[in-house]
Amino acid sequence: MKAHASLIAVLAFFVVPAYAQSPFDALTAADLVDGERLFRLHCARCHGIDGAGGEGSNLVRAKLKYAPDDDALVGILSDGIPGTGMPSFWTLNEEQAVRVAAYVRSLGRLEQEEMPGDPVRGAVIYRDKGGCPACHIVAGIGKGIGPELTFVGDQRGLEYLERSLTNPADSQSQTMGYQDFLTVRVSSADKTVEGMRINEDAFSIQVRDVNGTVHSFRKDQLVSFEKIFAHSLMPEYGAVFADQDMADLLSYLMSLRSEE
Amino acid sequence: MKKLTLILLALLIESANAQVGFDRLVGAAGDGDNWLTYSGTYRSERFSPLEQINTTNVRNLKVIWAYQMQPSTQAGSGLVETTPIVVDGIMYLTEPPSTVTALDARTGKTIWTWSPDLTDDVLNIGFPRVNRGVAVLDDAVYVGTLDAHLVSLDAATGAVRWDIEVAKNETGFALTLAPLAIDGKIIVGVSGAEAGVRGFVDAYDSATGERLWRFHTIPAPGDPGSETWRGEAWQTGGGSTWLTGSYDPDLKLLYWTVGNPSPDWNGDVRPGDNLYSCSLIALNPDTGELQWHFQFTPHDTHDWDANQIPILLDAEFNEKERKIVALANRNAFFYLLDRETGEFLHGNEYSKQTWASGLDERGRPIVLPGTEPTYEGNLIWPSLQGATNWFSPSYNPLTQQFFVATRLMGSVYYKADVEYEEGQPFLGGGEQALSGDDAAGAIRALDVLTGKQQWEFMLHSPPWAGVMATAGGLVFGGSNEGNVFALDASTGKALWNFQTGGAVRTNPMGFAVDGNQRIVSTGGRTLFVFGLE
Repeated sequence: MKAHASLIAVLAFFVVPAYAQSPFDALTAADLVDGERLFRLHCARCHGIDGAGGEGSNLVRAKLKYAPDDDALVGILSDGIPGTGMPSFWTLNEEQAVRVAAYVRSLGRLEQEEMPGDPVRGAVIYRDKGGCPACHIVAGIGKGIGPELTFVGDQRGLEYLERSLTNPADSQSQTMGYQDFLTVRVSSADKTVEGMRINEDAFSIQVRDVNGTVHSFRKDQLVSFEKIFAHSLMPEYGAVFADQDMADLLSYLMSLRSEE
Repeated sequence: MKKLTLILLALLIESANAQVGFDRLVGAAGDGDNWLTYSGTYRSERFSPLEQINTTNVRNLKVIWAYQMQPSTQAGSGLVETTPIVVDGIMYLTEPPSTVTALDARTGKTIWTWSPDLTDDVLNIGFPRVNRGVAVLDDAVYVGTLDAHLVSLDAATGAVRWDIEVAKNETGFALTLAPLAIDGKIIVGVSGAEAGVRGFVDAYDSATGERLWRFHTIPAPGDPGSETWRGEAWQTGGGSTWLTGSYDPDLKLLYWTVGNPSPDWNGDVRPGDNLYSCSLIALNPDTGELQWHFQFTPHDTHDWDANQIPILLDAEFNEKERKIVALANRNAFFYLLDRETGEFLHGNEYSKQTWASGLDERGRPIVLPGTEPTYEGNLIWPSLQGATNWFSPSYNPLTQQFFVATRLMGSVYYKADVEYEEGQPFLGGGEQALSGDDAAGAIRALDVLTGKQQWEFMLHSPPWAGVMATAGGLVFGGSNEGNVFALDASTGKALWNFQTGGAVRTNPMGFAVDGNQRIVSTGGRTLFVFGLE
């Protein structure tokens, strides 16, 4: 069943479905450059000069919470998002809004690179030899301890994926500047837990251990609290796989895309 | 019969006008049951003299009632930054973008609500669609609106008394601040420097809405200060006045803060000191004439608005009794000025900064070379949002402590080419802030006369919420992570906290009803009122 689900994800890469037209279809490279210019003018104050977030959300990601499709993304620029700090930009005309939206979409959509191996074989390595579903979910299958990988190919390129397998500590992603899956070691009077920071404020911290169990601590009851940056709880897989296995596994991960 | 009618009419007029007279506003510091101005008093101490809730019992604080603001139909109006006002059991607050609501301060039940007729294309360039509160005077409530109107509402019903346009929203002007009510006048400032407006402070007749004076914060050619501008740059020079000022009724001086020059990050197009941007100005409340000014950040290129709350205090400084104004600036320096003359008395760094080696003997920053924004990006502390921002500091006059919510954050500042176009962003660059694990926040206590830090309470992220000290020995504050908390004012130790479930972006305030002290904060779009019982 697991293999079946993974293969579906692989097949999705090879089959090109008939998608509805996107407002970005007619855009040229020059339009995207103009979109970047407009982004810096109108959006960078909150979303950062490169879109990686600031007071506003990080836009360098494949899936945007409020914009499931390209039309919705353009709509957000003209209408804003009620109940948030995202205003409407009526100062942008329709063409400009489309260019900005296309630029924003491009931030989270890497071009498909050439695969170094066989993604179908890689799916099997992912499941069996790698044992990756013990910590990662693809298309609903697996355990959610590390990041979900269902659309990892949208956001991560070959170089990044290889680094995350051989040296996971060197490929820590961030959300709003906070290291995702930051390793913390927390001790109270009753227990010591090493795991990933899920949430933190001035008074409490929530940690998920490698079994997926969530532990909640009040900071005023801690005996010790250590944040371990530049470290990952994911094992290093460089020595685990032969070169071909690694190439096939990377190809499988690259194939995990939302649409092609 | 006629006589009786006249007596009844006289009584009605008296009761209607007696609600919050100017004398009552002047005496607000002695009236802890009410919260009569944005910052509590004309001195803007944001200090509650109530001590029923104190260091020994604050751990028992609980929610008495909560009020959920309704989602606005207006996009981008999700952020709540209001400080409520409480008068004799009635709370007046604003909801984003520009709605005014009156609540029963005992129960939280709505008495009336009023919203302006804003269209969705209202401009807010460089800031969110927020409102920070109302002013009350006599029997009216005054609110500034996002489309740059000033409106007088009947305090009992919310009916509009008058509605005037302060400035054209189409060019980028907006009102987000709580107005300041003084003797027969309503004082307001404007937002809009990110659209290249020319800022000003206005006074309006509280009864009629007639404009009494206007002081332009960017001088025209020939006016004093115009020598700090070149060419036509003054016409789009910024200097917005988007935060409520303070008032000294004895000296008869208004203290108002002025924001950044425009465009924000490209100073090449506006050489000079760019007065009165990034300054504190003292104005004659009758004429609007400038009495003195002090510029914190000459020729600012980092958007370090001086729009922070100026706190007025009297103290012995260098063996001389002084009337002082204290201000913790967005540029990371803390200042004491003589508020009669504007003389610089003291300044020190209160939060990390990398742009100046210090202040000279007149308080002018000694700017380090290579600290301006560049096309490639230049990492400087503090960030664009500053070491602090609009959210209020607090001053405890009993202990001479100054409390400030501090943002420990740097930014990579970028410069870009820019041309002015009416009603469009006029920025000349941008920033990429060091956020998340590379940033933090802190509530810091300073000795007000030396600026020396007494303690700090660390926050997970740079805050957007102010603080309020109380005579109960407490400092209340809030965090982005949703915590409302009380610190021991003498040590900084947290004595109580409550998770609201939404980011806290407001200043705490306090009042009493039925003899019970109340503390007010928000989390997300919900207003919480805390008490012991």
